[in-house]
Amino acid sequence: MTSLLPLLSTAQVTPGEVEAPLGPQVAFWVLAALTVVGAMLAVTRRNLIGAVMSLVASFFGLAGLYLLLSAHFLAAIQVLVYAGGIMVLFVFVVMVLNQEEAEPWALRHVFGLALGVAAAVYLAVRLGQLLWAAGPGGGELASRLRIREGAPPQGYGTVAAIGDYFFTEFLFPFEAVSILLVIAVVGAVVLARTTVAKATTVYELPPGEVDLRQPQHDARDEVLGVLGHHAQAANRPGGGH
Amino acid sequence: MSFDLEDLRRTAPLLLLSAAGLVLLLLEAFSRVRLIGRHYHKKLPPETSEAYAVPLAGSRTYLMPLTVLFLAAALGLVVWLWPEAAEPHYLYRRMLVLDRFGLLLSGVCITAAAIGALGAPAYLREQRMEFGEYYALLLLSLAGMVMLVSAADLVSLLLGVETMSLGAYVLTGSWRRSPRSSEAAMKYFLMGAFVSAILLYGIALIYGSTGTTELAEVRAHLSEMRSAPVFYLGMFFLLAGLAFKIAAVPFHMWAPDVYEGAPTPVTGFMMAAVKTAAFGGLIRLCVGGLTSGRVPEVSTGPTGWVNVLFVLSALSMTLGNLAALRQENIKRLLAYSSIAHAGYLLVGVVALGVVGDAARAPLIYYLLGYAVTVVGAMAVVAALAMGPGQERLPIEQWAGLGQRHPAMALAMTLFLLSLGGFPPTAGFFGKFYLFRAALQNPSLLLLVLLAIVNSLVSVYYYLRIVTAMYFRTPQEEEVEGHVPAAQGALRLAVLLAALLVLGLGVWPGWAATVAEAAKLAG
Repeated sequence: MTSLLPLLSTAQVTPGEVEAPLGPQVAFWVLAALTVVGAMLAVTRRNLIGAVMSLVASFFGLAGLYLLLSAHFLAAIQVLVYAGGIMVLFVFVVMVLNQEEAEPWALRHVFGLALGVAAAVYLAVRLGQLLWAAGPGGGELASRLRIREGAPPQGYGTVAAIGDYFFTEFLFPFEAVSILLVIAVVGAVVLARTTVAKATTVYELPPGEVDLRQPQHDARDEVLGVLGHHAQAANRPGGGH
Repeated sequence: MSFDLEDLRRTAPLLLLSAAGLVLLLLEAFSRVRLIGRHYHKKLPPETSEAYAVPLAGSRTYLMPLTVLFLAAALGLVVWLWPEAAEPHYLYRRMLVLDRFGLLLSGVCITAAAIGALGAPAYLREQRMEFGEYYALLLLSLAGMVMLVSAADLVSLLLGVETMSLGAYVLTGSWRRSPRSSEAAMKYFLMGAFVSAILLYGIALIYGSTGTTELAEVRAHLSEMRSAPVFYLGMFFLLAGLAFKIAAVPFHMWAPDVYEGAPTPVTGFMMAAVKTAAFGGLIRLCVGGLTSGRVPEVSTGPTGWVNVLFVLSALSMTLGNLAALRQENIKRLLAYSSIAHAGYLLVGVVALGVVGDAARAPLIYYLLGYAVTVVGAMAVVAALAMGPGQERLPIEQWAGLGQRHPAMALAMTLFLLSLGGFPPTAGFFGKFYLFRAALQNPSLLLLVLLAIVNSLVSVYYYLRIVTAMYFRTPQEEEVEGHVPAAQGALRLAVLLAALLVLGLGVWPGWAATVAEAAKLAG
């Protein structure tokens, strides 16, 4: 398979590459910072709307990086679909949710905590070794960006080029994604539907089970699906462990 | 034409499974509407406000036989493609590969799913959680597994992992009235989504350093990678992602809760099929993409994948077994045992890197033996449930089952002996064959010794259940008037699994020959 053309690279000097001019250099670092900081704020902010807005910033930064790579179409899609559609969905869900924020789950066991710390330290040491082996002062991780000489090939990054990839090189993934989407949609419906259809047979409620028609099971659960169900289970005394 | 039309024929099992999943979905959709129209007003009693309703119990009994039929047909297609796969064929512009390794592992997953599906309806009906999408999700998830074990490219590997996992998440949470099931699905999904991001990031980093996502091309470009730190980081991320799917320590935290909370047939399906497929993907990645004679340090160097998996293997079997010793709940016990078995299986993957191709057949044999054993064990657990919402989980409730359900107790004993590695079961020969292959290289002596010590330790908790069943008197009587669901198809499922476990153990030759023939492409 031919690789997509990487225009920016922080790797070894290869023939046909030159150091990028100041403009792209500055643009890259600013956009990269925007992307990473936005993503970090998205997971650290306690305020959900704030987190979602940080994610929008991150998505815009990513779109800018795509532009820098001459992937115009991808950049436009990134803005339209992610910064646009997906974010609207997120905001809707957050507003419908409107719930008290709670710690999702804490590491309750000292053993787990110790194991986690040990794994993190181990990972950090091994990564440090690797980066050290790459040499102080950068080595292979060059600090300056290089770009490939000359203009990208005609039509690179356009709708036509991407369509061409979808229907030739990447035909199989393109089709396989549809199976993935079917299973995701069906799964969401299975988990989110409230009542289990209309009944023809009726049973007594066995002990230890939740009656789905109790008042606590309200319209919010339909939107949240398993999320709401989980919160509901955790709120009930004795529920969820 | 962007691909050879022959490719369609060569991916027939995958196409059949996907199409069958869609057919079952449609059947489900149409059957429900019609049946509601016919029965709803006539039969709904007035006192429904004091009870709760289940969907049309028993009205869709044809779904399970149909599913098993589809699975049998898929298995038939696997057998049909077997002679052709002697030589590897790359499909869809080298996105997938048809080789005997992928075919055999697909066959293992399909067989495990078929045995699990046979036993499912009795359990689902008893637990009042029947729903038609169960089988469709099962089949689509299986399609993901087939994709995963025949992936020739990191893109199709990721798509396979995702399709397989999404099905598993939903099936885990499908027991809507059980808070544990929802909690398990929630944990599994959140951690799984996180792991998907890690996998994807790993693929991006590998692409960044080698310029390709195709496994064979990655291997060819190992010697000229553009940035070693970026490559190794990508490799660690990929290994971490797949280690999560096989539930290896320290990526196992989800496993006990998920395996316990999921409906029992789903637990069996996940322990057997998901694990087998994830191992298939791991082997494809490590052997097909990350092992090159010209650049040995990627596999056997200090930061190579062999070392990483060596550590994961030692941790998984030790911690899995130690935790299993203390469990009182049979599903949790088998969950920890499953973590320990991931450790034994990783010995095989490590051996693949150190010893080479000689470890492939033992590893496949072990996967097959383990898959049929756990799927059978979970079918027994499902069969012995004591009523809606009352599974027979604490081990003390298994006391005296040898007298009350002699056939089920006998089958369970067989499965537990196989898990513990006693002759003449699949588990014994699997361990023997695998450890012997690993010992071809003296550097693995320590790991194999650890595995043997761990196997001996594990005998304690497997035999604890057996002793409870045969040598302890039951504490309480059966629930009044309850007939265990162990009827018909569920019994057949247990019987099939038991026959396979015994057959593999008594005549290991045929399976070993097939596994020997199941060569990896490239």
